[in-house]
Amino acid sequence: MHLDAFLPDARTPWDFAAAAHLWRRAGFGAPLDTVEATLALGPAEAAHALVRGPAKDAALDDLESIYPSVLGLGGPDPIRAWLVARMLRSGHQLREKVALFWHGHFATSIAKVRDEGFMARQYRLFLDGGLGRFGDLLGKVARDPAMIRWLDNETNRKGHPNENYARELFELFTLGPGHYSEQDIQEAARAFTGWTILRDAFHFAAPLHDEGEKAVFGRRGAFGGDDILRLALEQKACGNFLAGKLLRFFVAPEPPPDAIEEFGALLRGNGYDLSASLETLFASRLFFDPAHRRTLIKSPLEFLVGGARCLAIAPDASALVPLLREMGQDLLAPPNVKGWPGHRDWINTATWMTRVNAARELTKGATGLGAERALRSLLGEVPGDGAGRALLAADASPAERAHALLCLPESHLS
Amino acid sequence: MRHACCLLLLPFLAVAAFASEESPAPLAARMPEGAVFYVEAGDLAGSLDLLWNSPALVRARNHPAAKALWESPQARRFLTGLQMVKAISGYEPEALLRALLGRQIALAVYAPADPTGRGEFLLLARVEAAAAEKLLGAMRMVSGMTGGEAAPGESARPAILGLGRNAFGFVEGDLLVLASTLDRARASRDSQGGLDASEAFRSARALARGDEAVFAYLNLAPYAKALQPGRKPQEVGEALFVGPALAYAASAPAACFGLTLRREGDSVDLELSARVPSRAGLTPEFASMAGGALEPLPFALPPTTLAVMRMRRDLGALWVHREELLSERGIAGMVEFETNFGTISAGMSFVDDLLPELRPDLTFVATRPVFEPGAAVPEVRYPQFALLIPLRDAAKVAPDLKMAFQSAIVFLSAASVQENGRGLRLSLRKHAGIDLLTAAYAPPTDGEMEGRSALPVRYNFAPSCAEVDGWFLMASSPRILTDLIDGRGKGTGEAPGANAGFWIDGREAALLLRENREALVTQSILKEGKARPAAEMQTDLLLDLARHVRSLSLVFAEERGEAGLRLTVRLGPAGE
Repeated sequence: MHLDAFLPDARTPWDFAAAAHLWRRAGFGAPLDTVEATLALGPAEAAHALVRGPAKDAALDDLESIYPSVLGLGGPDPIRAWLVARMLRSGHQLREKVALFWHGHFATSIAKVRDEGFMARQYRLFLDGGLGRFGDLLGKVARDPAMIRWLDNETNRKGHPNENYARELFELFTLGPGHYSEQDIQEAARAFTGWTILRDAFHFAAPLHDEGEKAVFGRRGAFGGDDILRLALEQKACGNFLAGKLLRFFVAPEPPPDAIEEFGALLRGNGYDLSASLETLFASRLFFDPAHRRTLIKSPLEFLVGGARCLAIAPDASALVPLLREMGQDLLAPPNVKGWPGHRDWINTATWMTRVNAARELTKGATGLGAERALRSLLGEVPGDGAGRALLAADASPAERAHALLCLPESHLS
Repeated sequence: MRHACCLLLLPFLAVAAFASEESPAPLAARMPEGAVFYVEAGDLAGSLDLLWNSPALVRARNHPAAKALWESPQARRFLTGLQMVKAISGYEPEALLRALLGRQIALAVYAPADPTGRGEFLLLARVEAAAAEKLLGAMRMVSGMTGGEAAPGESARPAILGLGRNAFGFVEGDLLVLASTLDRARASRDSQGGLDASEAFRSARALARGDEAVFAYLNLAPYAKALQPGRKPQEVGEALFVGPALAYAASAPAACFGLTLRREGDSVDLELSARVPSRAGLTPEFASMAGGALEPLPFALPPTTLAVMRMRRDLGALWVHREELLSERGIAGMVEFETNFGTISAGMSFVDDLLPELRPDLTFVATRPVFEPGAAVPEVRYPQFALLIPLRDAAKVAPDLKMAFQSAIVFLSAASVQENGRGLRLSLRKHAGIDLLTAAYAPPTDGEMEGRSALPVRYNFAPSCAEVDGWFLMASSPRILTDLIDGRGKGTGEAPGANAGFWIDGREAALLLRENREALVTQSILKEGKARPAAEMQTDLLLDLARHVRSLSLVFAEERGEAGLRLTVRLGPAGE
């Protein structure tokens, strides 16, 4: 079984490469010392520690303390910088990574929402509830002002249903195409009538709600919005749909179909408890299979944040925001309702150049890490005679060497 | 690196063992002609003492954040360099600096002989005799390790020592000479009259007041092409702000710079001035747009005034002479503004109806925001602004301007709300019998305040306007207008001949910074990744230093045949 516990052996040992793989996927990468400390734990204990997070996190406490002030600075860029700073410095890396996953899953853009306060509140839902139960998060997102505005539910009223939210709920958030009918969408849309925004907060406008009987997934009743969410979660397709997205994000671009089935069953079986499900995943044979390592192309965030963390660079988080935008990952502004396509779409002839340039910006102040340690930290191993080894021999400044390391193909693969 | 550090300090090490009893010739006379830039200082020790012991620097030196700087690798390298200097010279660095700056020192910069090469320099210093032989010995020691004797000595002509690839020097009487090339060193050794005899230098010297701690000269000839009035500003703002100053500079052969330090009670004034002869003056186009002196402002400034900018600029003349004063891009910008103005003002023409009605003085006031006691305040407090424009016939044009203001607010609000933004509400009220038009945002909702500890930044803005005694006032808040209205007829005069000026009240600036302390700490945590205690320490150092800047002013004036910029900074004990 794919989700059986990973038992290290001679072919797949619990070594530095395996621990670094865990940090790259379940976080944004980690400094050398952190990876080496993880090695002292077994795979199961390491996965548990990553899901649980540290008991005390001073860097995150500092960032939490400035959250009201960040909101007060005005505009979306300070919020973006704050989120990037969290990814760079948070000790609970999985929390940040999972929040980013949900941001892509429930893709909502400030381009239409036009209110950075709404967007910040939505992202907080992902930070605070991303590792909880999916059903709880789904319910909160359905009531989230940014989502309501994004999918036009403000105009969804009795007699004049707007189907945008219901359609994306089934197609993009819970079931995927092929598991619902047009009639299911039309009826579900009626259930969400009256779910709107008043004074910048969720408001159920009873007079605008269609209280009539609806038929969804073959069930009949005077369903409201919460009933529709419950019905969607009960569909077998929901577990598999979510499992497929999680595995494509955390494990491999094309995970084995039976692994998706197995992980979907696990999700359904534990009530879509993300913490428990991900802990199992991160300690599994599937996750540590060498065939899946370095198979995902890093997103711009994984590339820059991971590069900074591995090379012990402390960049200006707000300076990374425009670089990320140029590379195609503008936080709070995914390209459309489907979010960022990811993987191969991250790199093309234009974004490759922006990656090289962004790497130079990131590394221009690099000083500290020795060549061997930089290579090991970033790539997880020292290639015997590869380009990385050649770089070690080159006469270059620490900044030049760090830039060259980030430009190696391996540095762009998670 | 250390070696270079020693070389740079060498000019300060040599002391005149053979100091002449006679009055020495000007240092500029030992500089060959052709210098692009020349700077000279007399006894600087007293001035440096004044600065070093000013309350601001004492506070900065003793601040924990400043002390922590000495632990940085760069600081450690610097200290190592100083130790080497001490080892060679036998001087403690501070004592050495005091001894060296106690008489006269000058630096000249020359264009490179090869256009692709580096600029060349020549540094001359007259120094005390106390340790001359020892320090000359130090030069010889360095020379022995690096360049040797580059040019032999002759009768009454000392040998020129090579001190490395780009340094040559000699000592003659009480004069130490250090040059970047052997040719420059030779030229100085042979110079009689030199730069001091050149007309451009003399014209700049004539503008010096004589009380400068530091005098500098810039030969403007090499920059004349870049400065010439024919180079048209790209933007209207550039034409208004820097255009006239550049036009003056382009008409002058040389510029004189001076740094003066004065003690005023418990404060120290630093004055940096740049002056050019104004006999050539401005071109007719610039003169009609920007000539003349400011009239006194008839309003007392609001009590929390943070900054004021005033300039004598005739926008009507700018439009008339736009072909001469603006680039095509600048003209296009004005035309675009004219079109937009026509839209919001129901057909009123910016060019035909408004510009002829504006008198030439423009005044821009910024104040520290004041909120009613107990009122909610924005998380980040922005300064409030007001633009004060005198009108020729207020009765004729002010009603149209008020209508344009209301239209602009409605347009902006409609556009904002259409894109899910926030709209402004217009209201009319009276203050001291004067109509005040104000636009304000509705109070925030509970939903919007979720996660916030203070109001969003938009609550810094409540655009307002009024017509007062023939002046049209536009402001970012009604408070600044009511303060101005209360100060009618209580204005003060301007500096004589002032054509434009900028003033900052350091106390108000420091208070505004202090009110935004948390935002500054936030920036430090976000941008520099500092932990909160370190971010707070750095921010508090900045706030402490800001409290010592009493005022800053920059004035452009034309009087007594010269035109010049004067920057004055007053440092004093911390204000509360």
